[in-house]
Amino acid sequence: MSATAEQPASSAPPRQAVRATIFLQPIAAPAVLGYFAAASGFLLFGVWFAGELGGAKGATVLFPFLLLFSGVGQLSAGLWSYRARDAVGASLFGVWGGFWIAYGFLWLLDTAHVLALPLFAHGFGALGQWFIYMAVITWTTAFAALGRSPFQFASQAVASVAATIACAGLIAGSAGWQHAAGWIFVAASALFMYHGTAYMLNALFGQIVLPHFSWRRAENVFGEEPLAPIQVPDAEPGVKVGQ
Amino acid sequence: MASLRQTSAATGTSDGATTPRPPLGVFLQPIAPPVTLGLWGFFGSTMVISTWILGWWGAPGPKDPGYFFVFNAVIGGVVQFAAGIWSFRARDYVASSLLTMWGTFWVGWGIVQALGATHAITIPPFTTPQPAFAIWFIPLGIFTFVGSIAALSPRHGGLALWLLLFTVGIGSWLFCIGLWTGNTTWTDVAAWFFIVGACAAWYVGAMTMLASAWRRVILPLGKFTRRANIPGQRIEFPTEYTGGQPGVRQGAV
Repeated sequence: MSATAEQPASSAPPRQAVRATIFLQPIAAPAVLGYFAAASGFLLFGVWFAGELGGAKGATVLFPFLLLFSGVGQLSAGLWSYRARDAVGASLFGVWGGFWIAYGFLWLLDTAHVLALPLFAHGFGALGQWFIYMAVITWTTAFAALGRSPFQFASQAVASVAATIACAGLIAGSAGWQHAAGWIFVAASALFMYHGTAYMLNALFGQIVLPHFSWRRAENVFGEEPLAPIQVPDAEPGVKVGQ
Repeated sequence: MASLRQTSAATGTSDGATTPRPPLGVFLQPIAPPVTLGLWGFFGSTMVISTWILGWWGAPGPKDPGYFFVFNAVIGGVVQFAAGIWSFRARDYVASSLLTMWGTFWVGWGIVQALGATHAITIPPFTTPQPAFAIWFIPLGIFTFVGSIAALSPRHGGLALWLLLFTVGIGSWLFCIGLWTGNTTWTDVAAWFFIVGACAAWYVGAMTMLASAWRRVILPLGKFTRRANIPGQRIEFPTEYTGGQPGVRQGAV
C-alpha cells in the first residue's frame, strides 16, 4: 500500500512534492501497567517459590492471576511500548509477559491432569533452562536501562539475579537456592512497584513525586515539572490528558 | 489508492454538491524497534530445544518437550509473532515476514506437542523417520535463506543479521534431512547451526535495543556503512518533544 501511495499518478504532483509528516501520538505510559504486572508476577511467584504458600501444589490457585495479569496484561504493555518508543519496556515486558502466560498454561495443564509437573524442590530442568534465557534477557535490558537511570538498572539487575539463582536452583534441585531466589524475586517486585507507582504519580501530578534517580538531575528534583503534555483541556479523551 | 491520486479533483455527491478532496499526505510514525522482542523469543526457544537435542540436559524422548513446549509456543510463538506483525509498522520486510513465520512455526510445534501430551497422537523419537514433520523445514529453510540474501543489502543489511539467517536457513535444511531419514547425526549438526543462529539472534536484538536506549552504537552489527559500526557513534536522531508523554518523546517517561 505504501509503495503505491508513494508512486504519483500522472495527475498527481511529482514525487518530491509529496508532503511527508512525522506523526507523533502521545499515549499513557505503558510502563505503568508493565511494571505493575511484572511486580505482581514476581511477588506471587517469589513468595510461592520461597516455600511460603501452601506447599508444592499451592501454585494451582496462583496460575490464573499469573497467566492473565502478569502474562497477558504485561505482554499488552510490552506491545504498547512500541508506540511509546520504549525499546527497553517493549523487550522486558514482552518477554516476561510471554513467560508468565506459558507458566500459567503449564500449571493449567497440570491441574487438568494433562501433565504431571515434578516437585520443584527435586529439580525441574526444563523450567530451569528457560530461566537461563530469562536471566540473559533481563541482564541485557538492565544494561539498556542504565543509559537512562542507574536505579532502573539496579531494579532490573535484582530481577536478573533472582532469575539466575532460580535457574541454578531448578537445575540442581536445590530447595535452598530456590527459596533464596524466591525472596530476591520479592525484592525485585518491591522495586518494580516503586517504578510503576512513580510513573503514574509523576504523570498524574504533573511533577516529580517519586524520582527514578535518572542521570538527568531535573528528573530527580521533587516538585520539578519536566513534563508539559500537549493537550486541549476541554476536548475529548486522547486530545486532552485523561478522561 | 484512487482517492490519493486524484488530489486535485472534486467529489460529486448525490445532491450535486462537490466537496474538495483532502490533500495527499504521508504520515510517518516512529515506534520502538520490534525486532528485539521477536529475536529474543526465537533465541530462547531455539536454545532450549537445540541444547536438549544435543543432550546437554534432560533425557531423550518426549518427556522433556512435554514440559517446555508451552514456553516455546508462547515466547517463541505468540510473542515472536506479535513482534513480526508490529514490524510492518517499522517497514521492515525481513522481520515482518520471518519473525511472523517462525512465530507461527513455534505455535504449530506447540500444538503438536500438546496433542502428544494429551495422547491424541504419538510423537516418535528423532531416530524414527518422520517426513511429515521434516517437510515443514523445507519452506522454513528456503525463506530464511532468502532473508539471509536480503541481509546483504548495502542499505538495510548487516553481517550479524546475515549470520543469523544463514545459519538458521542451513540448519533448517539439515534438520529436514535428519528428520526425514531418522539419522540423528544430521539433527545434531543442525542443532549446532541453530545454536549459532540463536546466539546471533540475541546479539542483533540486544544491540538494536541498546542502540535505541543509549542513543548510540554500543557494539557493531556489521552494517555496511563504516559509521554505523563505530561504538559511541550516534546514528539516529529521534524526532521528539522532550516535555511530552510517551510516543511524543522516545522512551518511558
